[in-house]
Amino acid sequence: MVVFEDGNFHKEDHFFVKKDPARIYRGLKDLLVNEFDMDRIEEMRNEFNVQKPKDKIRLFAYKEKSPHTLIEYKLSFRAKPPKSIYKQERDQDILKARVTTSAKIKSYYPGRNEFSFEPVHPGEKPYRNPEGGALKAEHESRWHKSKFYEVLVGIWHNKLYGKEIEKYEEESEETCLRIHDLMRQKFGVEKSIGQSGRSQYQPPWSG
Amino acid sequence: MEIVEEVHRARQEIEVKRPDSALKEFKDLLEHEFSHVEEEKHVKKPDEETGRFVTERHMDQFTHEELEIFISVNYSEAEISLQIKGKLLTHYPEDYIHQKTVWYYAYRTLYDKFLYGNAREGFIPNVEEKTEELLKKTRQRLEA
Repeated sequence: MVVFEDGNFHKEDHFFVKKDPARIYRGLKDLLVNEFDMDRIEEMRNEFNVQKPKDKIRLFAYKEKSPHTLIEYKLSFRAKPPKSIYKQERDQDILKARVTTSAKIKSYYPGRNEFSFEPVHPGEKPYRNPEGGALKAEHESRWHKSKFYEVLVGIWHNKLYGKEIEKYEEESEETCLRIHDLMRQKFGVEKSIGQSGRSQYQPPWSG
Repeated sequence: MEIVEEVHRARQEIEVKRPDSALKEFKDLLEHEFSHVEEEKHVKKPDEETGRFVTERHMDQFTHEELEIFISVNYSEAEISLQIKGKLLTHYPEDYIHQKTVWYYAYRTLYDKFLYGNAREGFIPNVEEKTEELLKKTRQRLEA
């Protein structure tokens, strides 16, 4: 199986607030599905604390662009009291919310595992493997494992499919920025630097 | 294959007229100055706001200049602290399978050392000039 990883976008926002830092993740999954039309959402280990705000939410959201390519969004939302060093000169009841997003475009040749609901052997990772799966080694034929196949796929992916990959990179960046802007709205902070109008991707939420 | 060379650093503290909108105006300035800007990190505290920006400017097919800008706005003292790191990044493509072999890596290393290194050195004054220009425009726009 030949895997290509393109694009690498990363962004972090930290907010220090007096109350209700958990507003960052309320209605999050509905937002991801309705506004961004994500095809699959996988949750990693989440932590919720009842006594004090100390919540951790980690998600992988996938958007399939073709039978071979998908965009992987890694989202992490945290609500917690900040480290004691920040509290020394401030009120004791200050709380912190953190939003981190990153996006990658992954392409698999000969193709992804169509039966993605199959349980994955835990192996070295005791919690679920978030990488979306792919055709496992024993499903590939000798042709798929050969070097010549790798060369052909490399030429196809870089020469012919490269333009589409660039479009997907733009789309993933725009989506991550949009997620950050929506979170910032909840905290009354102005929008981040926009990259819209760069070229080809017309986001469905604009205009 | 990537070669990163840090070529310039600059640091400045400026007193500003309107600390509440200082970061917003700075972002506006960056968007006008550079075609590619990314805000990588943003921290909002009750009395302080900090951000990290990365701007990119392509010099030729292999090399681009990257300015990593750290800005910190202090509301109570009406002051911003700006640190800029200027870097030159040379990226040799690794798309095809022959470009990932160790022989190609050796060839590219020699190419960079004996042929391309001089060209990259020629870009260093551009980076320094751009950094100074950015600082000057920030002062003009934000200083009290």
